[in-house]
Amino acid sequence: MQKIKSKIFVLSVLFSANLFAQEDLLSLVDQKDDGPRKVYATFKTTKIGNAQSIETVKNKHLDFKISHRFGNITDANQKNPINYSGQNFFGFDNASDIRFSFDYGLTENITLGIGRSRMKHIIDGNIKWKILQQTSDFRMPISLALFSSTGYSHDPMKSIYGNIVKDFKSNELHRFNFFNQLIIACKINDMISMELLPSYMYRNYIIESINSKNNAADQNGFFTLGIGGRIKISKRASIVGDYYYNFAKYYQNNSSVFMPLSLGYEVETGGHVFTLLFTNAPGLIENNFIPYTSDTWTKGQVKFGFCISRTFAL
Amino acid sequence: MKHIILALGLMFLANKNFSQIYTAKSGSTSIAFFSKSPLEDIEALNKGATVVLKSSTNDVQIRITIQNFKFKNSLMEEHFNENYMETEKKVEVNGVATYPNRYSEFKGKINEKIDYTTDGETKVTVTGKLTMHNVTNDVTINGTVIKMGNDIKLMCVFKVKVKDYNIQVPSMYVKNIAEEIEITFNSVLEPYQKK
Repeated sequence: MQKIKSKIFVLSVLFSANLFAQEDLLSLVDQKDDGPRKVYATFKTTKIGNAQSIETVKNKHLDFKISHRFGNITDANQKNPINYSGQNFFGFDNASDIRFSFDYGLTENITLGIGRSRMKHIIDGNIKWKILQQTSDFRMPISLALFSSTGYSHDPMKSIYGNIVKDFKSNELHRFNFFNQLIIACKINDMISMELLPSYMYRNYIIESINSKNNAADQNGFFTLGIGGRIKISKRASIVGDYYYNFAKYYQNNSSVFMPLSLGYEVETGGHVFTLLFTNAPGLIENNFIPYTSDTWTKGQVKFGFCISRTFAL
Repeated sequence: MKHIILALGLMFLANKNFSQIYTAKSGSTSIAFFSKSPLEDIEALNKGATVVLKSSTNDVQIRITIQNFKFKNSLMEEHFNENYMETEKKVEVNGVATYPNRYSEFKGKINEKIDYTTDGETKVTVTGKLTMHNVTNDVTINGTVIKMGNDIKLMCVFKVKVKDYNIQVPSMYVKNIAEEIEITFNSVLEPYQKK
């Protein structure tokens, strides 16, 4: 009994003494939290190079983008590639594609977008919905988003159908193409972010074409897998890149259609994000650059391109 | 038996000390910062903080969560956390991940004697250590303490130099971000009751 009493005595002395000392008063009220938090800023803007990034536009903000792809820097198919480069000033004289787009953050996680591309004269509407967000302790190792885009080509009917002999009626629906994808992203650390983009491309109408090397015909719908990433070289600048691999047999070993690869440099300057890149893809939206990349890096058919993104708080 | 009485007495004393501790009433605290520069004004508001005042020793301690600073422009908020405050920067301490930039703390003492028993306003100076962006500096801040009934109101406006806290502003943005940021702090405290 005596022992317990003295223990109480000692404890109470310690307790009161503690209060007289210069103590950490804050810990009386709450504790610092070194626990997991949601990961933010996996990428700087909604696109990496060609591919979509996991980022959505912030709630009630508007992101205006001007994107451009110049012509081929050189082209090994030409008789004299060096002359070709010089005469076209490394492709700056040509424009493969130009796109203006507006993306609006309906909520923090849902972005609605609209854009217009020069290539195939496509007006596209798209939605990106961020479903899962990565946590800093990797208990939720990835962020996940759904991206869906519908394109409408306002080309004249005769260029939609090419020079084929038509045995069917013209159909407005043939102007549409659809692209759906899952964006799986992981911010590995402050420097490196990676992405996987399993996707499905569907075009309502395609001009029949056959890969002469394996006799596979082009299909309306096919699966494609994108991979993208960034390496930050400073707080505001990074090296970015992305690539799409089309699973359809038609795209394997094809001598006229290739897989799009882009490599670029991205810099954020407060409200703007500038992306400067090199790519073989002439198109700016998935509906164009995934099925219709007719150029290849191996022949030097690489284009310089840029994207300027400006965000406004509405 | 004597021991028990002594122990109880000391506990009572301890409890009495407890009642001399004041903490912020919920929703009564605001910390705003304001950066005025030729190109743009930047402001943000933080509505949550842990504020503790111990009247017997004049100790004041404040902790704020950096990510709770809300900007009108959310992109600015992201850049504030990512590029300037580096809020989620991980520092390994003995193999355990800690995030020192998540919080900013002030620990100091009010230099003047304050009569906490009567209502009134006292102009005070507070001297202590301000930690931000994992850098600690000695600071002296002018402020006002107002006693109103059971509550104590703390108010102050002071300036901090961005450079003093190792927050790097690239030369390109020197005209967008002020060298000195004005911080306004307001809080109403009430006697602390242990929950």
